Amino acid sequence: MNISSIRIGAIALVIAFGVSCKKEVTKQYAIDEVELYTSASEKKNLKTDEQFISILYSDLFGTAITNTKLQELNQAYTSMGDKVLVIDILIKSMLADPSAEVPTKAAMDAQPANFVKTAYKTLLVRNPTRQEEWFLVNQIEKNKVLEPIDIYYAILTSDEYRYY
Amino acid sequence: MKRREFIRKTGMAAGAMVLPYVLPGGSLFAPTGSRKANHVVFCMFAGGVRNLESVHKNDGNLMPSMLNGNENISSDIVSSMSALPSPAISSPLQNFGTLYKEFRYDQGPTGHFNGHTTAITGQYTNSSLSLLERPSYPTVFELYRKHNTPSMSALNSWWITHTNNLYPILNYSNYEGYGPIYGANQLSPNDFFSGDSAQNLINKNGFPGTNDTLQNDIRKFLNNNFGGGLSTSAGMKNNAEDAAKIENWVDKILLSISNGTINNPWNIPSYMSGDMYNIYFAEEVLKEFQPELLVVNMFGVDACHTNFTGYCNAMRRADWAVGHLWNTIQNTPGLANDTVLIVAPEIGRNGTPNSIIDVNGRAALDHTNSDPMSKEIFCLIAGPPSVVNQGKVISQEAGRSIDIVPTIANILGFDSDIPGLLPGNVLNEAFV
Ligand SMILES: [Zn+2]
Repeated sequence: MNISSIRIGAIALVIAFGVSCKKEVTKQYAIDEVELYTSASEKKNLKTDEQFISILYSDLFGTAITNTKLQELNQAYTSMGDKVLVIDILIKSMLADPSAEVPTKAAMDAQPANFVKTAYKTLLVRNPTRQEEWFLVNQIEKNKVLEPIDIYYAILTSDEYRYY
Repeated sequence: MKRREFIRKTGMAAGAMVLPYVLPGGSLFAPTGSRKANHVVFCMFAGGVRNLESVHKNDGNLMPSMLNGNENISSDIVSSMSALPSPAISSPLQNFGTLYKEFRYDQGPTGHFNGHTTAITGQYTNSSLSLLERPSYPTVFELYRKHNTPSMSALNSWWITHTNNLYPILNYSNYEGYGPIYGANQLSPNDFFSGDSAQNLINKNGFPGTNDTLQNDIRKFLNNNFGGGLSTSAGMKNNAEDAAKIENWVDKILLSISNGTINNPWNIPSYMSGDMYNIYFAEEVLKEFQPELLVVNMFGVDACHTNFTGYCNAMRRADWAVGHLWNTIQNTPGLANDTVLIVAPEIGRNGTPNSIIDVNGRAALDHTNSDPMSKEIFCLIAGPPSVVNQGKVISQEAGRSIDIVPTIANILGFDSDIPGLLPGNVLNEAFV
């Protein structure tokens, strides 16, 4: 994962949200300097289902979702009544896709703090707080079985990821 | 222990007052009525069927899995009928139950959505029902879940819809005091497990699930920090334990898809129709979870708007599927001899054809409000001999669409707990 994919993620965010949010419009024109949320408390709005799927896709694959792909994923989404469950299934399917841009375990174990910061910027579009960074680095260091995909999965299924 | 077994073991006779008791799972079960059976499967057959072609056999017996008789299919269409295997059922379904030949959908527009809404809520709909509207009254799923026990799991009720278009919203209503928390597990398997969709989900089986506890710990930490919480607009939701069971089942199906074992699993010559696949997946749900209530619909016969012969063919496929469904129920431990199967079309079709003529010179049929034949349907209720009258045929006009929900409630023992909501009656003639 590198900064350019973070940028693409931000572009996709703009596409998905349109012009209703001033902050995201800023991002559209400042693609070299991704503007991050200063804190999670700035996120007040629940993503719509389509926004959620689009952003999830661009965050994990580093490219904006195509219309065809969005329709396919939406087909699965609309076919199951339990939306929490179907989102969980979609997230797991995407994370387990070999082309998903998830850092390697070696990279995570070598520089856990760097991994946590990048994961936060990529997925939550903000820097971790010192407490968050400490907690996650500690989890990585003390649980040797922990994989990058586990942390990505936890973030993607968190409440915060549902909001913008 | 199933409730029926509980009743037997404690010596309570059928019809006796049943006191609340705690199920092995720990939930309180307190409906006031006794149950006739512990499981109900309701099959909406199959997108607008006219009595003339079904129970009156004007073109021969197009439903040999459900109806007695060897009447030949009309000579002008018989060569267009697809080959089907012999019925999967040992004897036509009507011999295992009671057939209402002159059932009625007697009020409301004769649209599919209206017909479905009535069948699922037990209420007739207004003429102006929007096609994207949730029901105004509680659905059978909500009634079942609310009036059995507050904690009756959604794993016990399923709504298997032919497509993901429109019909999923019939899961739960906007009625005060009901709503998504009492919804069923709705699934549109033809769409969910279809090629395009399944291709996107297939990787899921590679997801490492070994660090669940660590994942949960991290998510809990993140959620505590965020403090937002999900909006209630998320709809119905399984508890974590049941969600995991459903996810495992989805994994199993995805694996079967990738192995090719769900490619015409019934070995139907030519192909399995969408109706057949929908019943196939309903059976998979029944086998996996043995739910107490499952509703499944079919839609293929609606080809009749443009193709009468195609309609007859679709009816034969739907009929074959119902025979297979019954056979599966009787071969599934937990369901065998403890399940009532109700089969009824949601609406009929017109007596007067439209102007579209098919390859065999037959005229197509719509279903319009002004044509009385579009309100004429049948209903077949099959079940254990100790519960349902076997081989009974009611030929005079009897029973209405709005009677199905109270009948389901009565079978599952909670009809008297529903507070004055249902205008229909229990279809008592069908029961011993
Ligand atoms: Zn139609």
